[in-house]
Amino acid sequence: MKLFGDTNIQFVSKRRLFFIISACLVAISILLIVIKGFRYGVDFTGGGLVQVRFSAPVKIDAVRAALTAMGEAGASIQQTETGDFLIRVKPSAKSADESGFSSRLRQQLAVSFPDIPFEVLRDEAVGPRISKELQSKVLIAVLIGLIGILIYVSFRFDFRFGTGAVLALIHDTLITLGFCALFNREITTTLIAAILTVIGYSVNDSIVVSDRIREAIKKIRKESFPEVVNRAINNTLSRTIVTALTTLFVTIALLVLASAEIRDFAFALTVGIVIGTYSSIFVVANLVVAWEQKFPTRRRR
Amino acid sequence: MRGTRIKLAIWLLVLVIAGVILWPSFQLYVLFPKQEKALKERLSKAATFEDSQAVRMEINEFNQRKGALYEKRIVHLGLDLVGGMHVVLDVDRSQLSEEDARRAPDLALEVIRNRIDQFGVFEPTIQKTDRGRILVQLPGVDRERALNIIKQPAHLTFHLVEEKAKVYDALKTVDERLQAKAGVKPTVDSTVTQPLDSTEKEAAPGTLLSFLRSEGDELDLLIYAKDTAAFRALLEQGREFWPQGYEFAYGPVETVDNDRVVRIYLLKSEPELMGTRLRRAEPAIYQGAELERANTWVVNFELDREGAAKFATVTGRNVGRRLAIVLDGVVRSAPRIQERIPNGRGQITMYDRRGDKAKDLSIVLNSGALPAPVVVVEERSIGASLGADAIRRGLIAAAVGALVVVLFMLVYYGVGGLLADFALAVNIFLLIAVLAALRATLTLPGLAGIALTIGMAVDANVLVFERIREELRAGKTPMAAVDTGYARALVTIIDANATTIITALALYFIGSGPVRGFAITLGVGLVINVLTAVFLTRFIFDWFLAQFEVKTLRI
Repeated sequence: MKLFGDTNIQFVSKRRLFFIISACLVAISILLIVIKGFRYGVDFTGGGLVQVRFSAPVKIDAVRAALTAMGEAGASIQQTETGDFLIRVKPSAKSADESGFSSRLRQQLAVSFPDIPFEVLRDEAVGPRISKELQSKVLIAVLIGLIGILIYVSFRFDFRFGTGAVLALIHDTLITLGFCALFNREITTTLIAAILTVIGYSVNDSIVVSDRIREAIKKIRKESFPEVVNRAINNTLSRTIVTALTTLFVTIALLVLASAEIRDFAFALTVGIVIGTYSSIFVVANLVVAWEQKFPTRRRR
Repeated sequence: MRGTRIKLAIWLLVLVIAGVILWPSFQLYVLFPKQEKALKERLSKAATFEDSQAVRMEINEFNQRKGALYEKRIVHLGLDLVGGMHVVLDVDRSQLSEEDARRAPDLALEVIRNRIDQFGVFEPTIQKTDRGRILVQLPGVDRERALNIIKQPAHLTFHLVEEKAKVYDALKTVDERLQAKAGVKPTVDSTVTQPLDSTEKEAAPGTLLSFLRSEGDELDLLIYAKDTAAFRALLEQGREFWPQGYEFAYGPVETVDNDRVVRIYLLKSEPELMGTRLRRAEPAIYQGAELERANTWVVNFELDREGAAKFATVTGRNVGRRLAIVLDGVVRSAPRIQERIPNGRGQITMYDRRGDKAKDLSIVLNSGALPAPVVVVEERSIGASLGADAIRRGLIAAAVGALVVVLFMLVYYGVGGLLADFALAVNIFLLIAVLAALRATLTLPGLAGIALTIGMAVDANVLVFERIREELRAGKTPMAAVDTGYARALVTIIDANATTIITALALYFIGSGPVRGFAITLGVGLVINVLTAVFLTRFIFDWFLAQFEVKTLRI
């Protein structure tokens, strides 16, 4: 079976259109990130998160009353689709011990709901110092990952392709983050791991196309540079789409079927792979073409 | 075809080794749960006592075999999948000398390890992390009990107790001095004329005495439990006015005439004896005469020889006085010394009807005191049912994702797809074997990483197949097309996977816990993927083409 046989779609000549689409998407994403901002998880804000499941339906107001009774009126309460309560508190200024809130909450719930047994499904607590350390750790991980990729790309490709791949990577990351802001996904260390994976995937895709262009440049001498590039994109189109599809099958299965803890992660991967595939077909090579036409490096016979 | 034989032999060997490595994990996660269930069922159906004893013996033996498996190279499941407590502790070294502060984390680690060993947990992790912190991971435990056991400083001291009247006077003095300091004359109130001998019933509001429950008991002054914080705060304000060489202390919350109350004590600051001289402690049922305490648990302790000798001297010298047993700043009890106690035995009252607290306190006392208080600076605990849910849904999602990929490859590439699917199966098999060999921990993101590798793993084969298709279109023979296809795709495969492997490495070295689990599965998965795609499918392709002398290839 074949989805794409011998295609000859004009990707390169329509590049201005794709540049405009991409520029709009990036601009909107940046606006979303700046204006709407992210919802950060406990990892980054510090504080506590307790997930409680009652054995019988309980009104959110009753839970709020219980929290007020224990002097935590400032806690945020959220009910999940499974009826669990997610209770978040800011880091406590009074005590250095982060396990205290959950212990007190358990006692209070046992008093407030004497007849309704409950189970605490999750306790997360991150002290202010730990959350600072986590932030710098994540930053370092992202930087090391990026630098590693940049070194690899610059070592394996010339400047033009390297720049194209890096621009595509920034494009993909920004748009993925924009979607995360738009859909209010929580920024956790796991989500950052997904973003880094998207970066790896995006560069991977760019490399496949670039590899093909390099190969074609050597072989086909009678065509112009844009024609060579267009041919290379068409040649790799089937592979690009098939790989994106198989990977998307998996991330979508995770997004739909896996438990809530992994959903934001799967969301970022899904969006990232779609955007990464788009950029490697429509943006990367076109950037190289635009560059080449502005600053022709060598004369091609 | 000698080359083929050798290659085949190598691949078979690799698969067999992987199988051997995976066997203990397979036993642990697939075979043992079934056996365990069967045994439990038999236990519940056992008719006679002898039958159930026999089954219990089998269960014991079974648990030993299960425990032995954890020593082997197996895939461990992360706490986010099995449920359990994950805390990072910081040892509060602010009160210690430089020398003690340096040793404190190791000492605390040792004490906590002792305690947890006695508590009895399957596969605990207790290790030092950066900055002298201690990571404790306990699968499937009751959080509150475990926290109590870990964090309890377990400082046991014995202090002489002052009598009730003296405590009252001391409180009154503190009240008066506090008011004098605040500029209020103690006995004059602007509106109400106080009776001259103000008793505890009519103390001025806002004073310490006003908190006292009007009826104390024979021995001690009581306050209501709800007032403890306010009382304590006020008393601390007046700390400078406390009698020289004495400390105020409190008992645990207890019930007297249906009121929840707390006793107030005045203790000599200098302890008569330290609990570091403890030989052993064990839980027991209260045997004494007090009716209220019938059926409650106590902890009996015995001091070591030196401790016992000192205890004998102290008790001998102070017959008729009361001696407080103070645990972590709380007066557990303050019995009157009836006679000299030569054998160094004593008892800690627990107000505990289930026995958990008594058992836990015994564990803590037997393991020794923490060198300094520990605080939880990070916690990520998962309830057992959430973990079970996560693993079930995670596996379903991964299976569905994999199935769709497998079907898609079959439909899209025909024979080639079958080959890619086979390589995929080998891939996952080897990946899990490597995880077992590394004793890696599989977390929920790790599971997602495996799923992701499935999606990405076919990429290498897709690259090759697309290349072969092109070569075939260009009119090459199947043999030549496969040859060129692999040769051309190889560079791209390595280039493409290298970047994702770099990302995985960065995540592994910097990330923690779940993220690290993801990095391992992704990184290892991709490396194996390159190997199987380049060597295994190539090998099978060649063999297939040679064996059947294929003239036309359709993929």
